[in-house]
Amino acid sequence: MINLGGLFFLIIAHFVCGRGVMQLFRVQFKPLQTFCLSVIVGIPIISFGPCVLQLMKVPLTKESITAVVWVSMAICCVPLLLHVIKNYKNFTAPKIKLPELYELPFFFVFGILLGVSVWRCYYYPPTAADMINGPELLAKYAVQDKNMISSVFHIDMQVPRYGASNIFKSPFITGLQIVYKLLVQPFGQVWLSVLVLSFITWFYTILKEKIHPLLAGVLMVMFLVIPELYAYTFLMLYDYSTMVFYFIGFYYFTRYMKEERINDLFWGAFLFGISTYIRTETLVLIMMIAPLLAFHYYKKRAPLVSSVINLGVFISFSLVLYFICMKVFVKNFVPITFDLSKQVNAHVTDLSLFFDRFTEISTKLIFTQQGDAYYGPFFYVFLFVLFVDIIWKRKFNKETVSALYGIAMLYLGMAILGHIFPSFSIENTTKRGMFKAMPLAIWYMCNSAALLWISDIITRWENGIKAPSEPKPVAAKVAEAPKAKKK
Amino acid sequence: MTYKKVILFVAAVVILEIMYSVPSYNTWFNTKIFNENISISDQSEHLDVEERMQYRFGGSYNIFQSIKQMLKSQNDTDAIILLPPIPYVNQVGAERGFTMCEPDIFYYFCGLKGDVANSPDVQQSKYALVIENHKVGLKKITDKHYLDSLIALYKPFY
Repeated sequence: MINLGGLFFLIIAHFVCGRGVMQLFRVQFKPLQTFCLSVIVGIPIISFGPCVLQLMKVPLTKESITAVVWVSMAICCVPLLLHVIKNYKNFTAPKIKLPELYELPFFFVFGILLGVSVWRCYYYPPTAADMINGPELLAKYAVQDKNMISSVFHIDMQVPRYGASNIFKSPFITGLQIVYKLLVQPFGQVWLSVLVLSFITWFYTILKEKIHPLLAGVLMVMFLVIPELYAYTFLMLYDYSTMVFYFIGFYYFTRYMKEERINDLFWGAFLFGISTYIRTETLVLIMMIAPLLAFHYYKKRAPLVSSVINLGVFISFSLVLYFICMKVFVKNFVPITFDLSKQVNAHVTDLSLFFDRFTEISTKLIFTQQGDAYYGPFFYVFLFVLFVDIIWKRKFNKETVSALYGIAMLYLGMAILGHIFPSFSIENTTKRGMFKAMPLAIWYMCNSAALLWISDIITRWENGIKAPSEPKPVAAKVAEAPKAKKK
Repeated sequence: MTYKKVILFVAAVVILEIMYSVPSYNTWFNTKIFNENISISDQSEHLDVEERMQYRFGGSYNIFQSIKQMLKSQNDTDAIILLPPIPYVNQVGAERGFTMCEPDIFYYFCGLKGDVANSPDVQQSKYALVIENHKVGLKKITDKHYLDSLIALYKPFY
């Protein structure tokens, strides 16, 4: 039922396309991270394939899709090949480090959870109503009619009703569904498992760089067993994918503020742009991150011109991809009009809805019995760690500050979006929008002073390193002073 | 040094055991991950696309498929079908867990054009999906009077 050859071909295509784009930004990481990140970035690139064919008025067939995937690989290969030609003499085979014994119980749990997720993603047809009256509907008939402007548009789409706007959303899922339906299996969808597996692997490796693997394993399990988030590892919708790109963008954005490598900033901005392409409302959240960058430049007294240029470039990636999504793809592929003004709050200056939303996210979504069913005890654990840091350690590094800023802006952003678009319901859109807070909260805990302290104790004990006692340097100075006097 | 790794291994198992014993995680694991009703080995014996669709979407999907077969046998798959409103179906109740859907989802399931009572081209409907005594059926619209009576019945639900 599943064309494994087609799946393997597409994974290679994701890798090659993503790796080529990464090379354009000249960002390099450890081999496993590079592989996972390349596959992740290659997924949206391949989603452009059917859109390009449609713009060129080429029928969407297995052959044309295969050809466009090959062409994408060939184009993205160029920067990679140039890099290989320049640096082949310095090439060294990557060293494979086997996991520690105590990581195995965590791998066992990851295996069970991800195995079940992959099976369900493969086995079940796309189920979410937002998909089967939106991207999945468009993809199914685009494959059948070999055209993205398919017979779907002959049915009455103008009747105002719930869900009718789903056909106006980004072609990210529609494009991927067309490719995967033609090359892998009739339900498509398994690209989601490719994305999830790559992200989980990448995320675990970056956690392990910061914190002892025992704690990294605990954090990763905590992340995987968030009930609602786990469900969307096999239920196809936009939110898990947006979360992945938003978080990875945030990670490199933070790394830029710490290490000042401009490539990290542009790479992060590109990933934020992809996040906007997948779910266009993310643009609002990206705009809300920009003040942190402006504050960073202000604090280090950076030159005004370069600061403004960097800020402009940072925002422009998201703006350009928003424009491509809405003004090129949606405009050309959805031959009916959509009146956005009907969705916008008619009384936008009346802020009562905003304040209602702001409180309801806590009182109706997170800290309720229903919230426990959605998110488990995840937010309580995060708040406990934050509380311990505030009371006990009182130390916040750049990673923790930016993660907290990201979570706060997300919370505020969800309230703003709920105010502007009242159809963004708490129990659907906001509930899933809050997914973006979860990897940020894990990243906060991974950099938390309290957990780093525990991590340090475990690492030193494991490696037989004694703790440096703090009074020693003071004692040495006192001891040296009388000697000098004797001389 | 190895004994320290073994101690950490035991610590990892104990931590996972503690996490598993947290009531909300425990309930979630037992109902959502190790659910006896969702057996991967059983599912792997039913890999046919249609079987998987029926398994996921149940009674409604089967009814839509039988309607499609019926119209296919009559070479009338281009006909427009008047669909009852979702609140109406919920109110009167239907057999075999049947739930109504919007025309776009109806089209997704069976590729037949559905229409609702407040659509501009509702007068072109050739068939109507009706519920009589909780049974779902397809009726041919033979006269305008019958169509108008259905529209009048359904309109208050929009």
